[in-house]
Amino acid sequence: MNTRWKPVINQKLCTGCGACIEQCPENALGQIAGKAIVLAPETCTYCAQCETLCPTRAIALPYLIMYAAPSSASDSTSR
Amino acid sequence: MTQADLTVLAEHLSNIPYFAPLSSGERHALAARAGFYTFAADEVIFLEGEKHSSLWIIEDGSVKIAKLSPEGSEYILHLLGPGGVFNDVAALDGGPTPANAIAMTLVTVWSLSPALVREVIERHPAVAQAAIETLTGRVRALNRQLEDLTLYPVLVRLARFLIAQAEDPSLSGPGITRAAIAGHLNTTPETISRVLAKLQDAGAIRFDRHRILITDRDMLRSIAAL
Repeated sequence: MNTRWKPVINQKLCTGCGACIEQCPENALGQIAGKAIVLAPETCTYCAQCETLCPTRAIALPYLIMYAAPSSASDSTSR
Repeated sequence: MTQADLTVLAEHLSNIPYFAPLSSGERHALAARAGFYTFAADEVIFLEGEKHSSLWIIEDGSVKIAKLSPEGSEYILHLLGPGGVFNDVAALDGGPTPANAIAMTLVTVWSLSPALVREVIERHPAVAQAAIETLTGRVRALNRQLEDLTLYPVLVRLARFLIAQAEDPSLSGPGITRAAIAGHLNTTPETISRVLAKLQDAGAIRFDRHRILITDRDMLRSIAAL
């Protein structure tokens, strides 16, 4: 799993409410010094629940937009 | 600045239309007079209306060029990745910065002073020609944006945006968020999520974790009215 691609949490906007940590189905998030952080990026499935429910829009998931490979081997496509 | 840094910038300059006409030695000399800066994510590089007329070149990371409405909502004019150039309008006319430039990720950038840009343009007609072509390209791009915003619904705008991004991956650099897409298409992140889901249901795209894969180009082009 490429852990470079993970939710980005704006520490200035995060209020430390913990809603994302509670809702994350993979327990990928945690809290340090009162702010949410991605503790286990390798378990993140990009379900985007954290981004959707964050009340201050502090969490954002970066996406890479690309054409799928012509064959069914599109999953192996990389940058 | 080390020799390796200069070589990196000289290579970047060779890929920028403005400076492509220069010889390798001239690009190296230009690089030696450039400034090098690092900005954290969300850090302001400059704000609209500032008296700041350097030409900026992105080495790494993503930068958004954006306007703010009086109510505080943001409209993203341009999303730029590695090799992207910004503030050329102010660098060429010496006027104030036309929009805000904000780092979207950790960004490393080079800066060329307006005096340096002017000096190069005066000495090299080919650079002046390249500058004209770059600026007219921007005018055309802004015309297209205006057309998209005024004439087409979000579905068409998003389809066009996805195609543009897929055809030039440097635009989104290290990734693009729904909020940034919304800011560029003058809508909300929630609408972007809903329309992306609609495109996925139609079979035009597919989510593959952090990838948005265009699975049916013809369908997406048709939706984009292209």
